Amino acid sequence: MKIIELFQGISTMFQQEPKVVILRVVLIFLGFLLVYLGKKGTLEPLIMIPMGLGMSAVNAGVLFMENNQIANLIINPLLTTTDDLMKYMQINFLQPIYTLTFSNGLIACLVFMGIGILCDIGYVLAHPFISMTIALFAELGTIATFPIAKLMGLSDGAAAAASIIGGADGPMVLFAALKLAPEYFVPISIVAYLYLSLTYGGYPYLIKLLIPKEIRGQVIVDKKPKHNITSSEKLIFAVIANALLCLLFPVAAPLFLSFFIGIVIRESEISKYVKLIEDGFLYFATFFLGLMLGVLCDASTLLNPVVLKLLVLGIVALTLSGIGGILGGYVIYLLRGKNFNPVVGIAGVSCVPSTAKVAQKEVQKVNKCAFILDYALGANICGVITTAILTAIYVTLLQ
Amino acid sequence: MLLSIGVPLKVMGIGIVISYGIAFLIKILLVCIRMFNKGQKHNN
Repeated sequence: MKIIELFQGISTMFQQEPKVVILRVVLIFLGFLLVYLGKKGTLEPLIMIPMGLGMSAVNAGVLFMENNQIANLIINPLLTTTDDLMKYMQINFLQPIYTLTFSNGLIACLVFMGIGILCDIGYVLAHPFISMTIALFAELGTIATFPIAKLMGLSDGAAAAASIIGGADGPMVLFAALKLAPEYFVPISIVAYLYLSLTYGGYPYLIKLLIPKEIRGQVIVDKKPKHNITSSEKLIFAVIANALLCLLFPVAAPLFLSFFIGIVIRESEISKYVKLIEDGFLYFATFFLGLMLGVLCDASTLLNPVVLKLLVLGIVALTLSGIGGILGGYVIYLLRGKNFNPVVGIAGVSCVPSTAKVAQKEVQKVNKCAFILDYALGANICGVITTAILTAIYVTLLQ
Repeated sequence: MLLSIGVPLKVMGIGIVISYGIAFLIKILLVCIRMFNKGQKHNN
């Protein structure tokens, strides 16, 4: 036995095509970089640290399996038959998590439950029309990316799934890709989550580019007396909206149910369930989402030429949505006789609560007394609702 | 190209109707709940 054969990863690595080997090495180092950027706080650590580690492990740990096929002992996302699934669930370390939680959308629903628990729907109930208008403008990317994707040669389903990236809602992208373009589920999810963690860094520049400094520091004066929104009002709204949206769009009923059940539990103050969903489900789902996205970044999967198109479409969708949101902010600014801060518009892009925090941070850099977080969170939560609605319509029309 | 614009326009159109429908629903619900609460307080 040659000494190199003792180290299967190395011997297998160099028996692949040169382009695969190069990409594997690049991805191993990209994994290191993601862990570093996650630790530093530049990218979202909750997703990026497990993702980076998974990415480097899956590209390094290759070996020859049966029929001389190169694979790994972590995951195989391309299994289709029941026999293969049952067999590999007993061999691959993360196959059970992928098959039983990822590829059926359960993980997206668990994250959505967590988002529901974190959302105070009272911000939406306080200003429903303002929040909804901004959220609808911030869907520009979800709408305008579709024809661009079609021009780039994608199918209707893949074009719609790529457009949903513009909604900046990770679980929704997973759900749409599963329903509309299961063949591109892996690359679409990876591209979406990679970009979603970058929006945190990119949107402040978009705000500075499109909104002059003097408008950025605008204080919003509430002329009407504020009504306190009670828990019962929030609960009644969540119960009715859930039933109504499930009735209108049964294809997205799991998502609506997950989101509104989070809200209802929060407003019912069932502390044990709140703790279970917030500390248990949400962190379980986020951890495995990150790890799973990392191990799905296998070089052979990413060599698919469609990945390059998705990378372009993802950035186009998120940029357009950011621009649309700010445009919506300007529309409200003009409609309310300049008594509004257009920076709130960026929060319409529903990356809860990142974009709302970005908006508040940018405003406070200019004017320390300006507080826009309540409007920003309203637009943010409405963004989740509008993205869910648009996803449901795309799925209903195209499935 | 024109055909591919049809789908997102339809999505946007229905999306606007449903989203503003929800905003109206919120307003109506809040008014009803507050009227109900006022009536109950008045009766007490």
